[in-house]
Amino acid sequence: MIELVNLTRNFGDLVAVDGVTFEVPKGQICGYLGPNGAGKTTTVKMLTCMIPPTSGTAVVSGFDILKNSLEVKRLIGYVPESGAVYQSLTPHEYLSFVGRIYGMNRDLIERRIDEFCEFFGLKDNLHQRMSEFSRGMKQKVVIASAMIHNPDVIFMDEPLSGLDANTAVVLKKLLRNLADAGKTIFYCSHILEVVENICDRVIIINKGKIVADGSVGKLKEMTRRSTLEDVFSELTSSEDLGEVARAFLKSITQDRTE
Amino acid sequence: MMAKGIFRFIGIDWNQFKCLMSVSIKNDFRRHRGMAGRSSKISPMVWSMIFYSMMSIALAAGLAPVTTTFLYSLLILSYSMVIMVLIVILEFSTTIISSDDSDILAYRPISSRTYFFARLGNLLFYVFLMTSSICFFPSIIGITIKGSSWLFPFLFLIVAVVANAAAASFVVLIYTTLMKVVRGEKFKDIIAYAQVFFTFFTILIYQLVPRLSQKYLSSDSEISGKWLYATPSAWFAGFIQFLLGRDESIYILLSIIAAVSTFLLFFISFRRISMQYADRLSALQVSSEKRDRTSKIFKKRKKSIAFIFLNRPEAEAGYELSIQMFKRDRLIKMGAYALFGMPLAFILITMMDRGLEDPFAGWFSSPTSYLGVFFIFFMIYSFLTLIRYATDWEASWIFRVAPITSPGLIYRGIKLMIFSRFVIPFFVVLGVIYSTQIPLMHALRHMLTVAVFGLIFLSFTSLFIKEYPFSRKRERGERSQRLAVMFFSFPFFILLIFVQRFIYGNFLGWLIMLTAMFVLFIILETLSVKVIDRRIKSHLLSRSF
Repeated sequence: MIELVNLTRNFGDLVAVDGVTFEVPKGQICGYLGPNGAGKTTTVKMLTCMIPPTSGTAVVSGFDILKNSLEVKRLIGYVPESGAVYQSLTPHEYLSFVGRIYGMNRDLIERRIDEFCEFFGLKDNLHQRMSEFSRGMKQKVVIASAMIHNPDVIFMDEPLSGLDANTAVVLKKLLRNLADAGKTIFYCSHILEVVENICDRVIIINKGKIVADGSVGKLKEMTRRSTLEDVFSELTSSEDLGEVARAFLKSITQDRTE
Repeated sequence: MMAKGIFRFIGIDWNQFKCLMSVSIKNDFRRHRGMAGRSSKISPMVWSMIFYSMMSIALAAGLAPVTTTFLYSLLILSYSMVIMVLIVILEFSTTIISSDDSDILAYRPISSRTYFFARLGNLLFYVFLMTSSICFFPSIIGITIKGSSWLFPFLFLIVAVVANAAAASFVVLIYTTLMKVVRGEKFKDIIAYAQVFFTFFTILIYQLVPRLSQKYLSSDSEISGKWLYATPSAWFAGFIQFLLGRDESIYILLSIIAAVSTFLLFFISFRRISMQYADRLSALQVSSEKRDRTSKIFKKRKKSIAFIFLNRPEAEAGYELSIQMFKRDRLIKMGAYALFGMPLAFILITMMDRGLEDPFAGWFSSPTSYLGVFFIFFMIYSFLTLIRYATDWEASWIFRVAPITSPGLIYRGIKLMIFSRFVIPFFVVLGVIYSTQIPLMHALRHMLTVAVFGLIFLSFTSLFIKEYPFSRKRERGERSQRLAVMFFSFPFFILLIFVQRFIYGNFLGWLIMLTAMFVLFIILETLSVKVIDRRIKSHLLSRSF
């Protein structure tokens, strides 16, 4: 469903993604982890055809991201980290707009809007401008807009950001069901407990290169660590993080202001 | 159905085009209502339209009794096309480059061509609204011109819309070509400088056309000259004459130039560049070129200014933040640079007219002698308006959570930055220009007086601030509204003329008055900090979060 071969992206002298190669089959929830600046968002931006790779190729849903970018875009959904929406529109107007961009007919759009609003508890706010919404409410609209056209592959960048606990639980269950129904989910997050909980497989990227790839169990076994958090630290940090925290605490509690 | 077919033929998805257009129009008219602290129910766009209507009525009423239909069309079209070009230049950041669009649409299945034409369509809709506000009343008043006909209003209005669309498209074409040729950070720099050039050039043309046609006012002879063939407004004015049934060779030739240039502009140029437009846009968004060209000398100078004038952390924070925002925020940077084009063009025009006159030689004989000085007020006012907005306006939450004891001090830092980094260099350039026309000491004294007056105006204007800086999202029409507000600085301009008249007589009187004005500035500045503190605090209390 997603296939990357030596995918590379440079920004000037900086190699943000360095020859990344992997495959994500149909029906899998793949967690994509890495420290800040590791190259996660750049990878996703290339796979969603927002930026072209410097070299290498990728195929999403059977289409090349460079040669058939419009076809790729038609078959994917994306929940960006920014959570941007047109805030002067209402959820109904925004979701209608997105549906029409994907060429859906009006009846289907209306039905899907009803279903998503029911699911996310947005019924009462459907005709309220999003400029008055909380971050979590906007995030619900963003998630709905990523799924309204029933995509084959869904890219998610911190999708739980701002969501209340109940919505987060129900969304996680929805993702599982979507995967069981054959959808591929590419999940970027820093919340390792969630990744551990819902992902079939985890890929860890550091400084633009893949440093680990496998199921959570396999990674734990490989590094001989008991939690994904420990696995992540082991693979992406050369320092003893506990010691770093202790040293920092000592430094910042010495004086309130200089 | 036909439109759908045509759009499909040129590679545009009609349904996507329609919904992109409708969403962008909704955004334009609604955006201001949802913004923090915005109380007005009327959008800046509507305010601008009202202002332009009033201005055009005054202009048309003055011209109609003394012109022919050709000269009338030429002058009104020149006015409207210049205003249109200025609007697109000033509003470029909300018209063509939209970071919202890139965040929301870049991963949707929209072809570059569809996206580009939707943006262009939105621009043309905006042009149509603005042209209507500028040209509707002049088109009606045009019936009263000797030799006019009842057809004139219709033809004038239609041609005016096409002419203004061509003018706006020309700017878009230049900017998008630049976007294609120049990448990333360099584009942002070049576009800021291009704004100065465009504004300068536009004002220059705007001032030249009335001068070239002055001798034909109240005259029976029709305006002529080879320069008409190089003047876009004359092409369209000639086209109106042709449509009115006048078949002189000059009008036929002007009509052909108008038709060919419009065709080339709309169909060939845009078609060529639109395919890669969205890519350029996203490239601009992700550009991560890192530069730090701040020299050690500059850092040292910056520190010393902050050390001398600002001894409070809030003021220093305001000073430092505003320096970075004017350097890094594309919208602010482009707005700031564009401000310099207008005064420079007016000064050049004044020099071409009669030369800059010595203010110490009595009352100025030419009113345009004051324009360079007048624009200093405009600049100061514009800078204070500019700092209300930012691309990262949402980051202004920091002001609300930080333990700031005096928001007014933040503004003091910003005012120092504006004055030291923009206004003073401008005065120095102006002083050098003046010194080539009048005695050096007179130029120096004149600049000093205007500078102190500028300081007073800066502190006075800041009395009306009620929000933290860089805390609003840019909205369409806001900057052209500022263009309109510029005219309301006129009382200060008159006051300066009178003050000059009475204090330039003798050196001692001037020195005393200058000192008194400086004391007034200090009083106003002290007062402004207190007033800003009070206004921002009460504004925050009255806001619902």
